[in-house]
Amino acid sequence: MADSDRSKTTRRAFLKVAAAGAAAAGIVAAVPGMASGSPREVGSPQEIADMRELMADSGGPLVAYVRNPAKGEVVVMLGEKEVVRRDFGLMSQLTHIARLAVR
Amino acid sequence: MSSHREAPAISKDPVADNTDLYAWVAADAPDHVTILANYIPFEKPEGGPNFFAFGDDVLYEIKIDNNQDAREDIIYQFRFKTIVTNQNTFLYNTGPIGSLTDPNWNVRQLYRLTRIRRGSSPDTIVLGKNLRTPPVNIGPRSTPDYAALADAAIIGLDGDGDGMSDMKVFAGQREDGFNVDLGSIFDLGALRPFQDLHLIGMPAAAGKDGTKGFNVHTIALQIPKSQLTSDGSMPTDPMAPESVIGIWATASRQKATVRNDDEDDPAPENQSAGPWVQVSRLGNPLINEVVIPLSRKDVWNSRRPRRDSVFRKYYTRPELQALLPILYPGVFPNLATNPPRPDLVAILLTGIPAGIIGGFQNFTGPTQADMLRLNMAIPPSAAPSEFGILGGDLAGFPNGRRLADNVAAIELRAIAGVTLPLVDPSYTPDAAAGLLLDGTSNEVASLPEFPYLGHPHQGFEHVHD
Repeated sequence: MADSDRSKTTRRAFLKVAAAGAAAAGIVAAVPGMASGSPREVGSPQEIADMRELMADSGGPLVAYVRNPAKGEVVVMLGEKEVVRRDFGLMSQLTHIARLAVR
Repeated sequence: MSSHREAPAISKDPVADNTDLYAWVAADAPDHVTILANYIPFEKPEGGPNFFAFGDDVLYEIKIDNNQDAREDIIYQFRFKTIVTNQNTFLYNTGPIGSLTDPNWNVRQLYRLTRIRRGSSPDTIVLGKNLRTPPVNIGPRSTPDYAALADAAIIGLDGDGDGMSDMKVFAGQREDGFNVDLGSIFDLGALRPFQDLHLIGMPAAAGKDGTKGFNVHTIALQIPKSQLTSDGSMPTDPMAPESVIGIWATASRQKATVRNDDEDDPAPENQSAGPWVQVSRLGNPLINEVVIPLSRKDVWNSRRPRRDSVFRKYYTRPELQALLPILYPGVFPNLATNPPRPDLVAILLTGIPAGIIGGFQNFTGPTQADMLRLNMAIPPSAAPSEFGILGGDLAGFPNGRRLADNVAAIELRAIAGVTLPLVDPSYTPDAAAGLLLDGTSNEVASLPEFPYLGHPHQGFEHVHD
């Protein structure tokens, strides 16, 4: 007898990624120092647990990349899903971090 | 060939490389459609200790259009998972493998088969979990009764949810049922039986099968026809549009792969993230191989069939049509006029409409798309011709494709002009066009029953041409 399975892990992961994206945007707005690239080196236990749970649920890493700078598009991928977020603040943070890699 | 290593990118990713696609109505299962999708070209049978296997990180799919729009209405998805039972040995097996649960078998693959149906009543059903593949065929000590192992991996499944097994699935290593003289054809288009007529002539000779002695990995399905039609009916009228389905197979990889270099927290393997991205596809044989030019092959592999109108010009005046009169001087005077080829566009991109061949059509609508088209209402042939429809046998290629169909010869002859009079009666094919073949045949007889494709060559002893 066949049984139904509607990609439960990917749906869950997708929803969590969307939530994580919203949280990241909120951090940029609330912590001015981050926009200029100052790292926050201590994470809260909840932040760490959230990310660990996300990665465990998806069975893989979280990967983000800038797709279209003119639109401020950052793509966040987890599991078999991706969220495209239009967020110049987030892109600016990534730009700042990326400059460290090419210095 | 027919799609082995046919494009630059996929030639570097063999685990995801579609090699052949077959679909036909088998004589011993006339109410079903049999579909075989082969992957991983040129598997040398002795290739241990890490023998060939499906990719755990590849999504393998067979897609079916059943309502004439070149979009997938039914998708069969295969995902594989490798299990290593003993991490402390380098061996694939530590003794003879006598069954699919034999503890001597160290490296196994299980798979999950999911069916997705779209349309008015969409659903996603896991048809089977933890289904077993057979081992590869190693040799007389390791796999002494290979046929029994392969037979044990033929699994009956319930496709319509009534609790009864009505379809079959098999996934595992098989011998490569395709035959073609690769060594000669890629040596400036030579066909050994006719190479005395080649621009750089040599004495005529028998063909040599470039895939002889090699294996592939096959995904095989045998599905009731009524589960493939758009309305659930059993197709009986060859002229009814709903009797025709379009089929193609794909392989996809996730968008990103991360290789972990964190020595404090090493991941056991590469990890992927993101949606699936198509890296290989196959409908009709030899299209990306010899019709699509080098600069467009990778793009072709990534595209959906319904976007194939952008490649139409390569069908209208195929490069091979222009090359044949040059490579065989004086042999193809009519083809040398380089006529436009609406016949190839019809046969390969839309299917053959009604009115061209009496009592037959496999038209899938005006959308130009590379799909293997099968009119399911055409019964199996009592006297099959290896030349399919060109040989007067409506149950063969390009109405689906059977294992014994000589698709290299059929497509050579078609491109050489044999099919052009179907739509342009004023064109007279050159006398040589209807004789073209590469002079090869497959070295292993097909099995009389599912999955039909012969057992794989063993590593211990095998022969190449």
